[in-house]
Amino acid sequence: MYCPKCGSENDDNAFRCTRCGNILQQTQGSPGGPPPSIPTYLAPAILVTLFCCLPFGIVAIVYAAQVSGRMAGGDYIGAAELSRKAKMWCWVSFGIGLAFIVLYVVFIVAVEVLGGFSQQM
Amino acid sequence: MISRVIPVAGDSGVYVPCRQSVVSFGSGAIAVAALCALYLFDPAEYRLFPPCPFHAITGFHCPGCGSLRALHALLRGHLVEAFDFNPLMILFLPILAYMFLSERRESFPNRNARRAFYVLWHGWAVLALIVGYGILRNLPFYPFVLLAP
Ligand SMILES: [Zn+2]
Ligand SMILES: [Zn+2]
Repeated sequence: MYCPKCGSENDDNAFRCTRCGNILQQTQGSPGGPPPSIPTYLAPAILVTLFCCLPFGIVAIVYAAQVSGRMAGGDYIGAAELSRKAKMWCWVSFGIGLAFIVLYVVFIVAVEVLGGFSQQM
Repeated sequence: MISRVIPVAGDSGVYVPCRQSVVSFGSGAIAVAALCALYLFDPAEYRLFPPCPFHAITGFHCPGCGSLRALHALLRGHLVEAFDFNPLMILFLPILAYMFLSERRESFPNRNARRAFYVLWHGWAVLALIVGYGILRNLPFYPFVLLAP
């Protein structure tokens, strides 16, 4: 499993994360103890949906939407897994969007430069 | 894919920059650069900004179409014009700002307000809103044409 806090890989039944010490195994609904915070990644998912113009952002929102429900049900392992998927799709969407923009800008610059050349000749 | 940091056993005494801070600094720098470019150049006039791939392929407006033009208008202080290009994106700006703040700080401004906020702006509600908006802004008659960029 992956640590929901720092994202590093851990043994499936590890109690604490080997990297950051975050507690990974939650005793179901421990009274008094603070509920673990598992990020939903809803905000970045909305951001990539509205700015990358790609359907992958929607996938990220679908995963992000399920995180809080799992947490409320006490399934922190499931919530962490959905959180990880939401995060992954946010980055996929952002990465593809960024790659598209870079390729587009390179293409436009190339067209302008070549166009300038042909006009000079 | 983002490279995973190999767990370091014990204290090596070597300072390794946290991957998360590098990532947030990088995305922050990209965002600031993009906002500067958006302030200076109007996406409607300059070809520097790419067209929406979804719109280019399908001919339909996606929920994000017009976001860049709207942001340019907003950065120049033209709120009405910004709203005209993409009303949902403008509506989401303060909501996104709150979401980012509350993800960092658990009890911002307090637990009850936070809970009430996420009951209203739950992921499923957001999804329904964005998908519904994406469909409605493609309808070619009044009043839905107002939603198109
Ligand atoms: Zn960790
Ligand atoms: Zn679009």
